Formats: sequence, structure tokens, C-alpha cells
Amino acid sequence: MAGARQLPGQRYERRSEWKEGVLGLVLALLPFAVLVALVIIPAIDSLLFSLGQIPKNNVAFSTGMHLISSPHLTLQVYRNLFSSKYFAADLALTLSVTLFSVILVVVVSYGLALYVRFTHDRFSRLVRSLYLVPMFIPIVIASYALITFWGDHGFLNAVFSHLGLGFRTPIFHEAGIVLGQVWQSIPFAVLLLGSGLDNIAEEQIEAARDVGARMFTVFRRIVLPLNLVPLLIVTTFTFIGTMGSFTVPYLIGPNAPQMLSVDMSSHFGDYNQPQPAVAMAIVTFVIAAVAGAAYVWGTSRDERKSR
Amino acid sequence: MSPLWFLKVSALRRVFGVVLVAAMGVFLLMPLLTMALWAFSQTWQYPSLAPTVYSLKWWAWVFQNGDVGHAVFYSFTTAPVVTLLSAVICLPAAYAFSRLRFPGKRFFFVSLLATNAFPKFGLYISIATLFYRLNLMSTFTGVVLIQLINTLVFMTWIPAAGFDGVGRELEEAARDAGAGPMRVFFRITLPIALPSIIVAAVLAFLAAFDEAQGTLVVGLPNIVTMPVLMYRLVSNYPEPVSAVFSILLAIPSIILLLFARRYLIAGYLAAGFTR
Amino acid sequence: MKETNSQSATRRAARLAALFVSFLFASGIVFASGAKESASAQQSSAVTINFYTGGDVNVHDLWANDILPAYKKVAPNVNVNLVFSEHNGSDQLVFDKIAAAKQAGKVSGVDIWETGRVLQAGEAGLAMKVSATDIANLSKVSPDVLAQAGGYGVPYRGSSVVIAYNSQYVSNPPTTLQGLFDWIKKNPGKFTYNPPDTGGSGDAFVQAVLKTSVMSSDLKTFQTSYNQSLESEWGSGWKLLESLGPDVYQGGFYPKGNVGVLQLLDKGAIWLAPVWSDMGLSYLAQGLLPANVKLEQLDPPFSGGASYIAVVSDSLHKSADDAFLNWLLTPEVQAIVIHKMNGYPGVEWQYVPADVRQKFAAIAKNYSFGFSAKFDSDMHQMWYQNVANAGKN
Repeated sequence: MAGARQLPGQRYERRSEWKEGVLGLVLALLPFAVLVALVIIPAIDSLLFSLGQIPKNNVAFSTGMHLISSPHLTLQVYRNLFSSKYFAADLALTLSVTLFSVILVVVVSYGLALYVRFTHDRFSRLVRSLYLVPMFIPIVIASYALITFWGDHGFLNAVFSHLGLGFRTPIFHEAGIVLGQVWQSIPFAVLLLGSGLDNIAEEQIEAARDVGARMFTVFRRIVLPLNLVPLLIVTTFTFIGTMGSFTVPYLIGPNAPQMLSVDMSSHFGDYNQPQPAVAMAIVTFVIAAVAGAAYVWGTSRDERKSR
Repeated sequence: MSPLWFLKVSALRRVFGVVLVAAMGVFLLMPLLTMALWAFSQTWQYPSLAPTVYSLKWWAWVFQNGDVGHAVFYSFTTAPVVTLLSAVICLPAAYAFSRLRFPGKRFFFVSLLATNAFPKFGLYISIATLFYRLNLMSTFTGVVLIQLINTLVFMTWIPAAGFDGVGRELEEAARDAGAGPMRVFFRITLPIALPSIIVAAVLAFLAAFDEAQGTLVVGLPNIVTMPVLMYRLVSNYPEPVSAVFSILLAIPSIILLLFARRYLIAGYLAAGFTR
Repeated sequence: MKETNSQSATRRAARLAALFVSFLFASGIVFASGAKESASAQQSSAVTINFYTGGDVNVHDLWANDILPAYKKVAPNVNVNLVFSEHNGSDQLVFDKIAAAKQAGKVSGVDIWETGRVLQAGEAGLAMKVSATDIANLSKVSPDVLAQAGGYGVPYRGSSVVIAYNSQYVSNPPTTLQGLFDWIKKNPGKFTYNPPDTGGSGDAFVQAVLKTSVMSSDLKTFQTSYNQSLESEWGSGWKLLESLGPDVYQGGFYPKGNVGVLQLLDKGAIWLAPVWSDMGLSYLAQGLLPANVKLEQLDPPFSGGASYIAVVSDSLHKSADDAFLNWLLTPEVQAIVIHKMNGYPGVEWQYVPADVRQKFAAIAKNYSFGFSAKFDSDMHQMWYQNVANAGKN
């Protein structure tokens, strides 16, 4: 209340609050400054370039072919992009691969997490170390290993042919990209889902089992609802990661259609068309940002609930 | 009967466990094992299930190759530098996110996610032009900065959860006993939060070490790291060469895995992303 | 305050981590001491020329293992610092680097530059015209070859794309382009080529097909300049490539890169493919291709080209640059280039030692010239749209 007399203690508290606020801001600004300098500013440069503003001091951009230049902001680059059936096919592939990857990652990882949580024999301990492996293998190596294992005339092909079975390789097809992305995303997903499961008290599960609930009901009615935030995180992070990934699609993907990141690289390096490349980056970012927004919404809702 | 009835029978549950472990093992590990075999093979023709002629000649080739030494040097110098720099920049912020109240806290915290959301390739093209202006292209500093981007989320989010886990009562008790804020931080807060910081450091190191795209754009032609060299080897050399190099590239990662496994499983990673 | 067990374990872990990091540093330095030593040896020389180049590994090995050590013996006080990049995009990066330096009024630090963009660089003022007055041996180079790069580069070697075929399965290889198409139809799944943007061998094949429908009066434009409207002449060429698709390996799979195709040939998965002559011969020599794989040139020949080295305009060591480039064109060095690269010389065949000429008689014909860089870029995109996407939309 204005004009009300303050006790000396309160004034001190407000001043130290203010000091705390400033200190906190300064410290938080350190990584944020790196973010601004290395991500936000270049991203804005890219956005402007995709809107028809050709920067004079940027040789890579200004010597591109088929540039669309305009005194004011224009959406022509995007219009060209979205009217191209090849871009549509590439976008469709990217979304399809992302969708399948997310679903498979969730299903496989949840299965693994549940198994590890509810089984306590030596196999589950083994699984616990097993699922961490992909996190520690650089993705270039992993892609290459997947190609030699799953590829045409590869190891699995040899095994199948010895067993007299036919073999159709997923490598250099869409399924191969999904394979690589799922392989790579399992550790993070299992760790997160598993930790969420750990937070569910054993008593709750036991109580439900005591009243005769079957495993699946326990899962559906107790585990799933209490583990929503980790599930949301796994979904959004896998979504964002798969959308923007380059190495797996580049090494394992088909000739056509291509994932957007490979498309971007082709346009920038091979076709010498940096402008559509940058526009594609912006489109990818917008889609990923939607997933990011879902993450923010989901986690802050949870935070507010727990207050 | 529920579809998971067999889980009730303990014998069948064991079988299920074995099958699951076997399937997971095949899926996750077999590709790596076959690749390891390639590293020691001289001739491996389809449809043989193992190399027909073994040899170490490609190892000799790789070790004598000057480019490999060059790449190893740069990988092992950029990654630790990036990790240290990231720690210096992010750990104080992590402490602030955990302990201090300030406006826009949630915004600054979540905004770091933008480092992951913008497609790396598009980003690197734009960063390259910025680096040209600042004369950072193809320099050690430039590569360090590029690799730094991928570490920000790990180095902030995970330690923040770690600091969350330090009870305020402990800190207050120490302060009541007369310890100054620095002493409190180093003797009480930091040791308890250390597992989280270790996890963050390991993941940040791996993120920097494995970074290929950005280093390719910014580092060439002077600074070549192992993942960048890997791209060239995979496309230009016979299989055994890539296999040998893969093993070399994976060794530090495996060592880190053995070291950090305990902390990851204990939940320090997950805590960072669910706070 | 006593530490708990886990806290002391963590302390130990932290110490271990610090040890580990220092170990990494140390091992990195030890590992690379060999590489770094050669780098630091440069400082004692009188003149250092920075030579930027790139390409496949055989190019790198040629410079690093054969030519530069030989030059060190000839000119001990000149150090040619090899800056090598294998990435396709690095041509653009070096171009940007020199252009940026020029704009900023600084010295780029690039003295000589082997690149596919010599003409572009020259026209942008980044490279100087070369002439026989500064580099005497240029008189031995064919004027056509010089003109292909606008007079801005010294061609020190060449290569041509040829047909490689597995003679165990192919007794009568085609000798013309039309013969090749017929062969592909008769032998489905046994032929492929790499996407044109990933390697020169596939690029040359696609260009050869496209040229069949181009008017001969426009051919010169396609090779030396750029006019986007002329690309409509490629129409029937694209249709032809599209129609070949189903008979290509695996119904239309094109492995990335020159080496991808060579590996398929090696595995016996395909029987016939376009390959670079120098790569094919190198692989045969190393046993990376079975001995029954042979090479032949079609009539009219696939395109090839010379590799040009440009003298960068802002180089501070022009006379040293010229001396080095001149030395590259001497018969002895050209013989090294031909032997090591299994390629064509930069000078005309008559200026090469007779025994070498004899050895390469089978493919030592001329090659045709490919599209200029801008046409090539558009062609890459159209290949993706017309051929890679065939039957998918």
C-alpha cells in the first residue's frame, strides 16, 4: 500500500530481493548471450534473407543462383517453395519419418522402462546397461554400422540367406532412416521414462494389484497418468531431434525424396541456391517450435499443478 | 485373460526376459560388433558370416596416416576446451536458475531449447557468414564456439536440477554456523550437486566430441576433427578403414560410458529435463 | 562435517574425471606430435606458399606423398604448405574466403588454388590470367584446354570418365552411347551411376545423355557460359534418363559418390558403370577391383577435364607460384602425375615421355568438355527432380 510505513526488516528484504534479482539475471544472461550471438542473430539473418533481403557482405548468400531480391519483405521464396511438389514430397517424408520415429521410440522405450522397473533379475540389470550404448556412439559411426549390418549384401542379409529366407533391406529406404533415428533416441527416452516410473511409489502399484487389477489396467490407470510429463518430454525432444537430423538421413536415406536437412544441404552446396535452403531451415524451425511450445505448455502446467 | 498373462508365470517371464534381452542386444549391439569385425578383416565376401581373411594391415594404415593424427589432436583439444568453457558459462546460470529469484527465469531457462530447435544445418550456414566477418572461419576458436552451442542445454538444465536437490536447510545451517557464502557453496552445495555436474560434463563433452556438421562447415580446411574425418573415410575408403576409425572414435566414448553409467541410471539426467 | 560414502565416491570420481581429461589432452598431443612436427618445420624456410586444394584421397596422396616432397628437393627454400579439404562444399568456402579478404582489403593468405571454379574466380577478379610469358611450359598445353578455364588456370593433370565393365560377365561392352542404353535394357539391374552432385563420374554420364538432345550451335554456350532458357533443350535427355531408371541397379538406386559405384562394381552387384579413369586404374592396381574389370572409352567420349590451379590475385609470392606451376608441367613431373593418378597429363600427350604414352594408349584419347558451373548446378537439381523422383509423384 502506498504510503504505509514499512518495518526496517521489510526494506532490507526488498533490497536483497532486488540484489538477488539482478545477480540472477546477470548469471542467466551468460548462456543466453551465447544463444543470442550464435543462434538468434544468425537465425534472424537467415530469416531476412529468406524474405528477399540479400545481404551485401555475405558472399555465400549473395553469389547464389536464382535469387529473389526485393526492397521490402516478400514471401515469394516461400511461395515458390510450397508450390514445388518436390518440396512437398520432402516435407511429407520428413514428417512421416518423424512421426514413425516418435511412435516407435515411445513404444520401445516405454516397454524397456517398464521391464526394467518391474523385473529385478539379472537380465534386467543387463538391459539397464545395454540401452545406454547408443548414447555413447557418435552418430556417424552408428549410421555406418547400421548400413553394414542391415544393408544389401550385409551381415543380416547373409544370416537370412543362410536360413533360406528372403531379405529386403531397409537401408536407403524410409524405413532405414526411422531405424537409425530410433536406435539413436532410445537411451534418452528410456532414462526419462524410467526415472518417471521410479517416482511412482511401489505402494500405489501394490495397492492396485491387491485389489485384483491386471498389469495392463495398472499401466493404463496408474502408471500412464502419473508419468505424463516425461512422456511429453520424450515425445517433443525426439520430434525436434528427428526433424533436424542430418547424418542419418544423409547416409542412410533414399535418393528421393529426402529429409529436409539433406534437401537444405543439396540446395546450398550442390544446386548453389542458398535462398530456398535457408527458407527450408525456417520452415523446419517453425514446426520444431510448435513441439517446443508443447513442451513448455506441458511442463509449466505440471509445475503449476504441483504448487 | 489379459494379453500379458504370461508375465504371471515366472518361468515364462524368464523366457520373455531372455528374448527381450537378446532382441535388444541384437538391435543395439550387433551392428557395432559386425563393424568391429570389419576392422580386423582383409577379405569378407558376402554371404560369409565372418571375415574370411583377417589382417591388421588397415590398422597400420590408419596409424600411419598423418590426417588421423591431425584429427585426433583437434578432437581431443576442442572437446575439453568446449566442456570447460561451457561449464564456466552455464554453471553459474544453473545455480541462479535453481536458487535465485529473478524476472523471466522460466523464459531464459526454456529459451536454451532454441539451440536444439533450429535445424543445425541452416544455423551453420548463417553462423559461417558471421564468422567470416569476424575472421573466425577455419580457426580453433570458431570450432570451439560452434561446438559450444550443443552443450548449453546439458550444462544448464542438468546442474540446475542438481542444485535443486541440495536442501536449503543444509546451506542455512552452515551459514548459521558462521560460514561465508563462498565457503557454503564449495563445501556444501557443490559436493552434493556434483553427480549432476558430472553427468552434464560427460554429455557436454560427448556433444562437442561428436559434433560433425558445424565443424565441417566452420573448421575446414584447417581444423578437422575425428567425426569430420569419418565422413571422408566412410565415403572414400574400403570398409575396413572406416571400421578401424570407428573403433578409435568410439573408445573415449566407451570409457566415458563406463564411468558415467552409474550416474545416468541414478536419474541425474532425467532430473534435469523434468524440472 | 563428515562426507557420506556417496559423496566421497563422487569426489573420487571427480578427481578421476580430471585425470581423464588431462590424459586426453596429453594423448592428443602425443598422438599428433608427428603431424605437428611437420607443420612447425615450415617456419625455417625462406618462402611459404599456401596451396589450397581438395578432392578425393588419391589427389591428396599425390600432393602429400609424391609431388611436394619432390619439389622440396628441387627448391629447398620454398615451402609449399598443402591445405587440403575433401569436402565438396569447401570450394565455395575458399572462394568466399578470398572474396571476403578482397572486400576487406586484406590478404587472403591463399597463394595458389586448385579448384573447379577457376573461371568464376577469374571473372570475379580473384585469380590472375596465366600466360606463357610467366609460365614457359604453358606453350605445351592445348589452347582448348586453357580456354576452357578462361585462361585463368594451369592444367596440371586431366582425367576422363570412362566405362568400367566386368569382363567376366560382359564379353561385348558397348562402344557408343546408344549401345550403352541398349545394353542397360538387356541387362536390367547391372548398371548404375552416382547422383551427379555427388561425383564426377555420374555427372559426366548424365551430361553425355543430356548433350544428345542439345543443338550443336548451343554446345559452346553450355560449356563456357550460362543461359537458363537453354535448359529446355535437355527435355528429351531427361526423359531418356527417366526411362532407364527401372533397369538401373535395384530398380533405380544411385549410390552416392564415385567410390560408392566402384564398391558396387567390386562386389559384383553391378557389371558396368561410368568411372573416372584414374580412380578405376588406381583401384585395379590396389586390388580393390577384381582383375577382370576393364576400362574403355565410348565414342563420342564422356567428358573429363583438366584440373586447374589458379594463381590468386593477392598472392605475395607470384614468382614463387609461377616457378612451382611451371615445374609441374615438366615431363618428369607429368610422368609422376600420370603414374600416380593413372590420369591424363596437363600438357599435350606429345610432351610426355614415350614409354608413358605407350602405356596409356588404350584410353589416351581426348575428352570432351562438360557444362559450365552454373549449368551444372541447375542440372543437379533437375536430376533430383526428374530422375530421382521419377515414379514417386
